[in-house]
Amino acid sequence: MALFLKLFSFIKKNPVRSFLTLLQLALGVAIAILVINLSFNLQKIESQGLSQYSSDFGVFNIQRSTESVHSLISSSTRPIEQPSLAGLVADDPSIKTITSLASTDRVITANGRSYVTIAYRGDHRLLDVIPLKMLHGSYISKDDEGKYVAVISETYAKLLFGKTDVIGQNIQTQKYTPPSVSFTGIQRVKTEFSIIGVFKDLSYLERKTLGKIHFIHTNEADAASTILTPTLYVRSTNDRLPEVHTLLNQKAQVIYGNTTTVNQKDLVLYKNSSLQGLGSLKQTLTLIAIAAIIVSSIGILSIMISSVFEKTHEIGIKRALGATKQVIFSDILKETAYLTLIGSLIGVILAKLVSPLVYREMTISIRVLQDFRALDFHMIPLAFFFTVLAALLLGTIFGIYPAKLAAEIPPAEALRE
Amino acid sequence: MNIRDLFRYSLKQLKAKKLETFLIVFAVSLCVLVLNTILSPTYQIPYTSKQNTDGYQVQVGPFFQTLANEVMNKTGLPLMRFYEAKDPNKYKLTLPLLEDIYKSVPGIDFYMSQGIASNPLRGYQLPAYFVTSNYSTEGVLAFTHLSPEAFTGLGFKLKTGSLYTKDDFLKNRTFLVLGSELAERLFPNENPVGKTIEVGNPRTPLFTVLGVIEPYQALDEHHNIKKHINQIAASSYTNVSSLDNKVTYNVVTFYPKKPTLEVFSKISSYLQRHYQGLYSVSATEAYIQDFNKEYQRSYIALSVIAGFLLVIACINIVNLLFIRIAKQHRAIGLNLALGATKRSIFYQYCFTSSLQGLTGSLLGILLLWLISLTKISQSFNIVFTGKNVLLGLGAGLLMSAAFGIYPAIVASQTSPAEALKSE
Repeated sequence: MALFLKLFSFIKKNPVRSFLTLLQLALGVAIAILVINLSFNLQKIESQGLSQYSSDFGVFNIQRSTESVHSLISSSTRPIEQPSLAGLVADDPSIKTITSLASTDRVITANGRSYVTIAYRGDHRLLDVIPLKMLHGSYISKDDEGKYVAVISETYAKLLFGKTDVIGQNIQTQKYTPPSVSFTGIQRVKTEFSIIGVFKDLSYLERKTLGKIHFIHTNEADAASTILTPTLYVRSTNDRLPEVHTLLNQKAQVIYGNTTTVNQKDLVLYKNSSLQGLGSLKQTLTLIAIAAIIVSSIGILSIMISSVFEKTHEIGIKRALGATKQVIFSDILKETAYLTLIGSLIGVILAKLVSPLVYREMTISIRVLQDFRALDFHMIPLAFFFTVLAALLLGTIFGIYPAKLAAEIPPAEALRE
Repeated sequence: MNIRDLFRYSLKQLKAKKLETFLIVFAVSLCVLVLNTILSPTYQIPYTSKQNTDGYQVQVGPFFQTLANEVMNKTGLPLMRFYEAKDPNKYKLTLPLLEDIYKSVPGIDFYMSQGIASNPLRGYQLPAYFVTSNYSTEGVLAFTHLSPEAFTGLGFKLKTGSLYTKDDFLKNRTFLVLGSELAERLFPNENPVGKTIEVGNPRTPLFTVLGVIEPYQALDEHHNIKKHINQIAASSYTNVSSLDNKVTYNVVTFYPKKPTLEVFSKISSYLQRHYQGLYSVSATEAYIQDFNKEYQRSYIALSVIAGFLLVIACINIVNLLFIRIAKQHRAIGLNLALGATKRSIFYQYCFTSSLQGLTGSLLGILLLWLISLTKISQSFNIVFTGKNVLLGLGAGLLMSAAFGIYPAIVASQTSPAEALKSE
């Protein structure tokens, strides 16, 4: 306790020096905490995995050959409603549920705000295939399919509507023409959908493998849009996915022509590549965390050494008055430990205050993190604990040398200074 | 005091406290190492334009369409703020506007839109739910809207007949030149020149064939129109917007005579001056540059955090410098009394801190070089280039010099009388 008071008086006497020392420690600890916390969060996300999408789940893309004029012409002619591929195969015994999601770029407008995004046209069967968790309202039911309704993700609900109630509000979509195919003028047909439900965002891995599904609507977005070739999501019976693949290939060629193939999206590949990006980020983060702690410790070490040199006279007096080497040793060591503790605590507070801003900035500027929001990064207590413990440990270990140095000073020399 | 004296003085100071100096130098070197490791991937340019000629095409289109779509696709951002065009009528790319740009900006060879429009040939009626590949080739006339300059600029030649004139193009007359295979399909064994083709409903005007295009060998062509020209036609006509019967384009590409970025900037500034930035201009090269910048930005965010580490090390330098100044209080006072200027005191301490930073940076660069020789460098993607050296030196030296200024100022402000009086 007496040492604590002594430290306090020390701080009062040399405000600049102690401020700088504590700042050093605090910054180092804060950086280490932020970075370790981020690492832990990424680890948790990685470990979530895609357990719900095992061997009975498949994603199929219809690829029409682009080598012929046919594809160019048919994509720009008047839309002809084609029989749905999903509809044709739905009754096959190898398929439990099949649903199609057709995606297009759309401009969505709601509550005075507009965004360019991917809109998915889906039906009531999607819930059986991709288990979306509905937070408010309900998903599209069979009865809803004649109407113009939509469900949006939690993120979009927040972005478009903020805190207001979302169910029952209207969303308008407008066609968004990519600048390549036709030049028949800017189409301004708007379609309005009524929101009937809000679903929980897909997890990071789900978004990377299945797609960034944030907005699902019924019906065509506008009558003059081109034919959409949908992506098919299938749950097969008893792992009969290869059979389903062959079946889809056959039927697709009937509808779209001989040059059409149906490809199965390799979910594992997508998952691995996104995890790789996260992995390299974690590597860099670990490096920064280690460096932060080492640099702070070195800082403490050098400060303590110089303070020992400063106190030589004082130590000499103490020794002359009967203090043993051990007492001096433990004194200096305790001082270091206390300094480290106070610095770490300040660092913890700093980290907690600054973390939302830092994470928000990181999610904006770092590519790998751009699919996250700052809210996705929770503060994990273990990160705090781990960092503070490491800082204390290192602080104490690095305090041994100055303490030893102080203890070894011969009292006679010290008094002479 | 000249540099040599300053150097000797600082060295003496630092040698007096060997351990501390070593620690600081080590800390700075570590920071420099980390900074360089993080920024190493940015020294390699990740994206270059694949097709060299395309890199210099200039696409002009209404602001939201080109920009938002390309950015969304290239960066993979899930959402983007979108700005509704204030006056939709002003944003239409009309033929007079394009001609204006074409004539006013030097260096443009021709311009064109990528679209291939199609019209069902009259007489072909198919049930709504039935589509086969036969319908695609037989029942439809596909044509692209090309000016005579675009026609010759793309490298097409006529086999028989003649091409429509510029006036036909500007007046949107229904003239065609057919691709070789298309001519075979529609008019087998006869000369198509002068014949008419009926398309769509009876109200659509008749198309007159003026010539046939020489078969075009499209090897490795990514350009849609060049790839398919044998099966489609080039026309001076295009479908018009029904609202005001003016020809409008979504996006137009300008092809420069010489592949340089000058045309891009000329068009951009011309549009800026005459149309007050209502349009967006984009060139693939510019996108790639933007994309590279974006890619580098993500590493800069991380390196800012690493930069804070350097700040911590520099705070250490400052702290120790303050302690040293406090200790040498009397000596400074003595120096000042004996005639040293405040400036020289300032330089002394500034130099000391800079020297520490410099040594730290050099050590860090050395360590980086050593690491780049081992296997670890592959996993961290470390490449030892001149930029590393520059960055290391710059960061370490500048930071330590900057942080050393404040203590040096404090030191130079000591009053000699007071200092000599104190212990």
